[in-house]
Amino acid sequence: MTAPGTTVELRGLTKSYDGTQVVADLDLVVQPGSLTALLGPSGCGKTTTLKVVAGLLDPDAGDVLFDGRSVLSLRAEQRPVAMVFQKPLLFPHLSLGDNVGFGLRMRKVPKKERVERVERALELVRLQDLAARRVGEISGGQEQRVALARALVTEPSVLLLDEPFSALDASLRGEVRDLVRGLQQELGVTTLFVTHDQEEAVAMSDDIALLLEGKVEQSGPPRDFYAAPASMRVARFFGGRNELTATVRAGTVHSALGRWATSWPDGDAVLTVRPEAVGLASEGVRATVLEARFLGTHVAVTVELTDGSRLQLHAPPSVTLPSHVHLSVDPAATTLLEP
Amino acid sequence: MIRLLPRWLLAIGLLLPFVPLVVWAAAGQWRYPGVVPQHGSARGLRLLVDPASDIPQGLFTSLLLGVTVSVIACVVGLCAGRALGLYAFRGKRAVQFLLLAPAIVPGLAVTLGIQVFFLRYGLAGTLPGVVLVQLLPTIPYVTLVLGSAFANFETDYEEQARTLGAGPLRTFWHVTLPVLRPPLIVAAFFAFLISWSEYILTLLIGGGTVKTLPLLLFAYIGSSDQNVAAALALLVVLPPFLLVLLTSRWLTGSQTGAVGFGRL
Repeated sequence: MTAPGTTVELRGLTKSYDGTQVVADLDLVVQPGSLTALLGPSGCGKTTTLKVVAGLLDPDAGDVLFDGRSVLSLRAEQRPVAMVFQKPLLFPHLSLGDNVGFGLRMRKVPKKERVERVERALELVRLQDLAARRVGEISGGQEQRVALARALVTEPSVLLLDEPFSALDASLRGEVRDLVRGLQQELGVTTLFVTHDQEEAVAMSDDIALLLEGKVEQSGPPRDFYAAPASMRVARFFGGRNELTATVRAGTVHSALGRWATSWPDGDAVLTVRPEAVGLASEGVRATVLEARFLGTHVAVTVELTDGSRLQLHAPPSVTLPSHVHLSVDPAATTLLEP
Repeated sequence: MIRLLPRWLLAIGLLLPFVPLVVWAAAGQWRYPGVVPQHGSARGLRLLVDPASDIPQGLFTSLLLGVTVSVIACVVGLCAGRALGLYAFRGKRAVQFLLLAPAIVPGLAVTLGIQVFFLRYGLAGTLPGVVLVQLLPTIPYVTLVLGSAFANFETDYEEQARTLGAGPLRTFWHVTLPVLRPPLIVAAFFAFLISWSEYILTLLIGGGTVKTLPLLLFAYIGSSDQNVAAALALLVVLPPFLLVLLTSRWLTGSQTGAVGFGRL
C-alpha cells in the first residue's frame, strides 16, 4: 500500500522560538522501513523536530532529506508524509469515511478509487462498516484508529506520529499500539514516532533517538540504552541504574564493588550497574541488607556497602535474606561513565 | 406542565405587541371606542408590493445593505478574530479596545464627526458610504463572536489538513470555515440584524437618498398613516423572524426549528 524504504535524514537541524533554541544542531538518520522513536522529556524539541520533517515549521538551519534529496523547498501539503497527532482531530463536519478520504480528495483522486481506498484503509484498522458514521458516535480509541487510517490511505513515504497514544486510556493504549506497530511492519513505511514514555519507545521501536535539550544524546537499538548508556544523562533518563563513585589508576578501576582492569583513562568516574546484574554469592563483596521488598517476580533489595554507599539489587523471589550478604558483579555488566 | 407554562407566557408576551400591528395593517378605519376596526382595507398591505410606492425599492436597498454589510463584516471579523483569538502580539489590548470602541461610544456622536469626511470624499448620500458607516457598529460584534470562536479553535485541525495535502487556501475552505460554521452564522446574523434595523447612521450618511425600510417606516409613522406604517412594520419584522427560525438549529444546536428558538 505504501512505497517502502524511504530513508529520512536530518542534518544539523536548528530551530529557535523567541531566542530560545529548541532544536540545536540535530543529526539523525532513520533507516528505511524502520520505526524510530524520538524519545525525550517534554520541551526537548521532539515535536518541533517532527513538525519540521512534516513541513509545518521551517528550520532556522539544517536540512531534511528523504532518500538523499532535500525536501525543505516542499511545503507541508507537497511532502510525501502523513502525520497523526496526539488527538484524533477528526473533522467534525465530515463522516468518518469522508475524514479518511480527505487526503485523497485534496490530491484529486477520482471518487470511485477514493471509495475503494477508504474502505481498504478502514479494514486495515479494523473499522470497516463505520464509513457512514459521524464523528462523536465512536469511542476515543476508534477515533484514533480512524485518524491512523486517514494518514495511511494517502500511502505516505514517511509516517509521523506525535504521541498518538498518550490521550488514550491505558487499556486502549496497548491495543492501538500493537495495531500501529503491526501495520507499520506490514506496510514497511518509515516511521518517526514522538514519545516521552521510555517503556513505549522500547516496546515499539527498531531504533530510539534520545533527545535532550534539542540534541540527540544517544541513538541506536533499545537494547543499547540498557546495556551501554552513552552518558550519565542517558543512564539517569532511563533510570534504575546504581551509581557508585570509582577511580581509575593505571588501567585498573577501584570501587566499592572491587577492582578490575579497564581501558578507561585515569581519573574519577561513575561506575553504573543495573540491579539485575548484581547477584548474591557465598563470598565476595560484603554488604549489609537495609531493606527487602517482595515484588512478585523478584525481591528488590537495598544494601549498604562497606564504604557506606547504597546499592539496589534484584534477588530471586524464593530467597531468604540474612542481614549480611556477599555480592558478585560481572565487570562486563558494569558501565563506567563521565561524572 | 410547570416547565411549559413560562414558555407559553414568554411566547404570549413576545407576540402580543404584534396583534395591534396586524389589526392596523388590515384596517381601513379604526376609531374610538371600537374594539375592532369599523371596516377593513388592504390598502396598507397593497402598498407594500406596489411598484409605484417606494417600499419595494426600500426592501431591496435594505436587503442589499444587510447582506453586503454582513459579508464584509464577517470577512474583516474572520481576520481580526483570528488575530485576537489565536495570536499574542504587541498592542493587542489597544487593538481590542479600538475594535470595541464603536460599540461603547454612541454612534450618533461618532457619525456627526465622520460625516465631514464622508462629505469631502463624496461618500455621503451613496450606498457604499452607508455600507461603510454601518460597518462601524457591526464589526465590533462580529469580531467579538469570531474572536472567542477562534480562541476555542484548535489550529491542529489546520496542521492536520496541511499534512493531508491541503494547501493554505483549501485548508481554510475545507476545514477552518466548516469547523467555525456555527459561530460564523451567528456573527453574520448579528451583522445583518444591526444593519437591517439601523436608522440614525443611515439617515446621517445616506442623507435621505439611500432609503432603507427603517427610514420609510419613520416617515410613515410621522405622517400618521397608521395602515401603511403597521403594514411596513410587519415587513420590517418578518425577515429577522424568518432568519431566526431558519438558523435556530445553528444558534442552539437543535434540529427542531421553532422549539430550538424557545431555548434561545
